Amino acid sequence: MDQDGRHNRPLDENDVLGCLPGVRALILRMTRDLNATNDFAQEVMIAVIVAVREGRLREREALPAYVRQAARHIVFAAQRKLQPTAMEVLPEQEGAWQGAPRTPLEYCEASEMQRMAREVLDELPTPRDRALIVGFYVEGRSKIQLMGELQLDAAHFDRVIFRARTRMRDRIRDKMCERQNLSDAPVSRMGSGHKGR
Amino acid sequence: MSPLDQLLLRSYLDGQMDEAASEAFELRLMQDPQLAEMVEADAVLGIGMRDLAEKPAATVPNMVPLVATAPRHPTHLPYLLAASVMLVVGFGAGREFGAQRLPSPVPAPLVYVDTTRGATHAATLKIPPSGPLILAVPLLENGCLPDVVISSDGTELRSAAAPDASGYASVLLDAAQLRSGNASIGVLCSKREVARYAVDFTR
Repeated sequence: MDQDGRHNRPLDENDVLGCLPGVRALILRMTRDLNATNDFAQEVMIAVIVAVREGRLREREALPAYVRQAARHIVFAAQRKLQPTAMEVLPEQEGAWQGAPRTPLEYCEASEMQRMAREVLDELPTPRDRALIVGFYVEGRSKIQLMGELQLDAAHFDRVIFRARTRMRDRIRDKMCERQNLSDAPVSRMGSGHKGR
Repeated sequence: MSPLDQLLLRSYLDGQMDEAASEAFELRLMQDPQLAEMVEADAVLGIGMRDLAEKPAATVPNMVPLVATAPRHPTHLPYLLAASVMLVVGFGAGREFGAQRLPSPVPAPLVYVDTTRGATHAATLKIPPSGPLILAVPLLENGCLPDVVISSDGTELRSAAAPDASGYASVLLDAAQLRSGNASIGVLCSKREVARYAVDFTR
């Protein structure tokens, strides 16, 4: 049990919305499509919130597995061209949805990804490191292949990839802060608004 | 993020986890925004890189176009005279038309001589049939403004090259200028050869 006694109270919508960053990350990894990810993540949240409201999901410990399964189901269903179940009540129109944790993807447009990827690539210190990233992400070559071709050991390979991922994460964070500052300014004067994570 | 988390994250993103381990990791992902951030960053990096490859927006700073030069017995007088005339005309035109416009950016693949593969055989460089190409060679000497000379079948391409912070010297050229097969790339600092690389251009 945590300090605020969170585990004692019944499962509610805020608990579900707390899973949103993970849901987005999982769906983005499955689809590699920014727009689809935003749509599917919202559908997942709606489906799980409805399940909580209807009492089909009560156990807090079951929430992560339920959310993960819902995400996978919705993505697979979409890939099979199945239509998701229509909802009469849309939680995203309610106050709870407005309080959902913001995630970087909501602040990042597709065109910006290309620019950020270019910046991350340009920051790598050697042509060999850049070749590694291009080989791994663009050409889809395996770690073993690239280690052989570029004469790299596993530690160097991992370092370069980790550095690139971390720098991309930092860039997305910066973008999020930048957008939040822009959107928070007028809202804060009105005495409400979400501050994000 | 703990070292264990980093290890798990790497295994997950590199596709090295079995199904059960992936499921367990994804359950943690639902509850850990920091992990979610890193998974997202990896996906965004992949999407951004893919878009870069599909719609490259290559801008090539500090590149100097290669010009073909006669390999033997150069005589400089005609060039000096021509340069003098062009200088005068250029100043006049510059005053008349203002600042020079740079050409529009064009996509250009990067090919570089990789010395990490050992020097026992010529490095194979895959080049396109034609179009702009950036060739980077290890400079091996800091603090000089290098020239790059590409010799092949009695012809010679020579250009001033742009050194970068990574120890490479780059030139921008038209790939059609390069002949397929064996060639030799020399790097000169103050007319002194500091490096020479045997390469094999393939298309």
